[in-house]
Amino acid sequence: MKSLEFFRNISIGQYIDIASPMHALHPAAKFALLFCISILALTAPTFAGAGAALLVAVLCILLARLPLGMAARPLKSLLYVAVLTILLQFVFSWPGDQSLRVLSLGTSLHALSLTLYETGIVASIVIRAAAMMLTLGWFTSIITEQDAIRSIERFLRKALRDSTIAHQAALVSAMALRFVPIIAGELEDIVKAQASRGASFGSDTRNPIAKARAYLPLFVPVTIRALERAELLAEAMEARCYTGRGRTEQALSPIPKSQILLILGALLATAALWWVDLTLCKPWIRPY
Amino acid sequence: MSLIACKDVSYWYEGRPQPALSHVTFTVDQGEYIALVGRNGSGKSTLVRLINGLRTPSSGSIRVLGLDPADPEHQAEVRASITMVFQSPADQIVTSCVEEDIAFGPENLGLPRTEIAARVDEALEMVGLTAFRTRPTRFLSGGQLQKLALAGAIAMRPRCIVFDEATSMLDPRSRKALLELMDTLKNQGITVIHVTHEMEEAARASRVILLDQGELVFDGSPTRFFSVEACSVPGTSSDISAPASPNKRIEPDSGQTTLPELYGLELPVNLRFARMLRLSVSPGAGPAEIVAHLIPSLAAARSDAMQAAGLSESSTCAQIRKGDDDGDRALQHPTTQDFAEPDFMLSDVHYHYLAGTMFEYPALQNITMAIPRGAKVAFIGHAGSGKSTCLQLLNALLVPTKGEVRSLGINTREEHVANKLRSSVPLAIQRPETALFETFTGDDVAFGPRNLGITGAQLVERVRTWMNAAGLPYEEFRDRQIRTLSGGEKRRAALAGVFAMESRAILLDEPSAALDPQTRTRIWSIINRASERGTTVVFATHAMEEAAGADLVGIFHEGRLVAFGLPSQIFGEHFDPGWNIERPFLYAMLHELSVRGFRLPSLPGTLEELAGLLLPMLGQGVGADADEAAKACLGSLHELCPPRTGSLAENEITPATADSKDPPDIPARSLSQDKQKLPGTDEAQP
Repeated sequence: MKSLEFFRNISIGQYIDIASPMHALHPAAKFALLFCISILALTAPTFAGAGAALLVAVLCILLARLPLGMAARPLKSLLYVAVLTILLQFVFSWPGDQSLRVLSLGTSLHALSLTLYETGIVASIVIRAAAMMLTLGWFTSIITEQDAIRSIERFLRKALRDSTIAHQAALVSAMALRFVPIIAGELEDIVKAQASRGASFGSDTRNPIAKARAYLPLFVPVTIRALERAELLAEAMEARCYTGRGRTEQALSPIPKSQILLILGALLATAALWWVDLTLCKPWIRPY
Repeated sequence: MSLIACKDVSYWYEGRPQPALSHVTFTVDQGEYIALVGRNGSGKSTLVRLINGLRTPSSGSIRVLGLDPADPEHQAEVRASITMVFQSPADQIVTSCVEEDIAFGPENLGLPRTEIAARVDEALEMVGLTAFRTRPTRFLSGGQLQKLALAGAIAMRPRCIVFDEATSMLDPRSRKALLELMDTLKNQGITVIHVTHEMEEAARASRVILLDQGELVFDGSPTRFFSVEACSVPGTSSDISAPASPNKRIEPDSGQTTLPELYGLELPVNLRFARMLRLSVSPGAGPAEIVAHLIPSLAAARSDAMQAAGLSESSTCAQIRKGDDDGDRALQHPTTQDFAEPDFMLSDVHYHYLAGTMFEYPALQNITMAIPRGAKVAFIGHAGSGKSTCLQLLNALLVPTKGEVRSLGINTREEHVANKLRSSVPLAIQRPETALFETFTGDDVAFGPRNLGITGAQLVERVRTWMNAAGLPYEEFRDRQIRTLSGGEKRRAALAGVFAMESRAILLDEPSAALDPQTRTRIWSIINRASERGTTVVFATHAMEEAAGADLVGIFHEGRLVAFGLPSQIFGEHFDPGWNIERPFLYAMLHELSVRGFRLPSLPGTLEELAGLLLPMLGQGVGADADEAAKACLGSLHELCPPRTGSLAENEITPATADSKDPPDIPARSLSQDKQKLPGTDEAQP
């Protein structure tokens, strides 16, 4: 039997304080890398481009001296996504899909089958999701919430020309990230409490409605607790004179020139990879 | 001008028929140390939120330094003058880095960065967190987080700091540190308002304000607050600034009840014991001071009794013979051989959280213990010492990294029995009310039994039994919406749901934490009821008085079980100051008595029993007749030290002195003695 320990599977929202080339980067450079990898992972024309993003994410994790096994642990959940997607592709067919059938349950209509095209779709979804999960885990492991706030605030202040909205948006973003491990802790506590009261969480039924109902003992208390926490935090902030206006501006150190070059290089490399994927890979990897 | 002036303040929460505060009037001056006390739901937290401007009074007026805290124009000034430290340490930390969180308040004031840096340094030094200044806040313990919250408040350079039940979720060590910081603040001229329902903490203040059902019923000194006079003659004392309202009349009683008891709180244990002995001591008096009060009477009684028995004055039976306690005094942990049928057995158990990751850390090491069936076992130790982890191992929620745990005879590693085992030894987590999810109270209490397959009339009966036992009458509460219950009622409903499973063993993680004394008593009545039915109860607690009532006590220290045995052993002869915990009051008294040469051969199990032994020697508790009193004294002294045969010289009695370097220790009670409280349980002798 395994221990109920949710934190083992959480890498998002947990800054890891170690010395590494990635940790030493200016926050702006970290954000630039996050932007580049995300753009490539989400918009690359084929899964080859998304795969390149995945490789870059792995490289970034290694450069950040983070254990790859720990960073990759959340990817286990992608297995369920993959199985579900394969099932859907197996049951439903794309109109006009004439690609090679990888798997077929012998009916003349080929209603239940998996084609190369569909396999490509599944691979694309999984690779893109894996690249994004690794990238987000890497990013939140190398940047403190305060650095994240300051960077977002600085960017939004220039973009929106309103310092109050910029600060509030930045604060909300950072707190959302900070709450990930906190809510995971709450969820773990509730799971333990309900498991102690004999809750099966739907493991004893195949009825999807009954399964969904079986999760109510988790979702209701966790939602209530999250709202309570948010209210308490808001009260504590108000008590410390927080209004969002008239705050002392955060000092952010200027970005070194070498890192400006790094950002430019990353942007160029992303554009190049995207172009290669579009012009070379896409015609070659059909349809994806 | 007063720092705070509340005049006829009332406050209604929307949709509630009763006001949360009703016509409250008082003033606070600079430099005062005020304990604001009352039961859960009495309006304490609402009042301090009104003062801080977090809420606006429905009627009446509040002025802070002459300003209206509800006026948006003055809010920043008021909140900078009166800062708050809240109950839950984790819920008030805004940022992820220690120094940045302290700077959050001053930044909101728009102060220059150099000024902010100076304030952060000052606050860090004051609370002792300088070494942690760049540490991520998620790596701080509960006590450190609360210190951080205080540092954030100090950095505002306030004139008053309000602690809103800020100690209620802390372990004893952190609690003590925070209380000492309150003293420091007070000495620096900062006004301290401490919202609490712990009377020991209230006794430290220089002024007590008592709220009940939203009304101010007492405002005066702690000495008067804890005296029977304040209760029996209401509204006549000069230090009661707000007379009791007509609908809140204090009924004079027989002259023994005090205000805390009358209003659902309780007298501090020291004062309760002093009252049993009819002694008058200060609210802050510890065991040493109380024993000092007793010594003249005890010595005189001993002398009289010796003379009556024809013994010489220089040799008294309460003295200690050297070598009396020679031999092996090492505390032996009860092991598997000690119990015919242990419910839980741990063999060389280790547990590491996040094993295999870079965050891996050991939570438990080398734990070997056996918990007998039907016993009530207390786990004590500071936060992070491993108590909760051990409970989760017993419940199979966690599986040991190394070693073996057997719960009800089943190895917790066995995959196929996980669900069954978890519901066979249910665990009530800390703050179990957070797991309530049904709309109606009765449904939630029924959740556990229903999962065990119980239905129909049997289910109804079981829910009825345990709701009634929890002080939530079934007919009244079964259809009550959970969200309308008070905090204490929610806790009782959650525990009733766990107890309604009527399992062979039950695990409770700090079941009474952060509750007022009245609710705590009700919680313990449920636990004791289950224990009396033969259920094995294992609970973690920070309250030493609760641990003293257990059959066995386990002390956890930095992930190790450093002691496990009878309370009389743990808190008596084997007590180690290195554990950094305090003795329960009963054992502290016995220790003080033994230090001064008075030793009890049979250990009283309760303060009442101890008082019963001591009262006759004080010339009380017997008839007015002097001869009867003398006989009572002699009888008690014989109880203290049974008459010996032969001469004193033959028995090698060595005169004991009050400053004996080798004080006698407290003899141990046997589990069989303690188990008399557990009818229907199997006898198990460690």
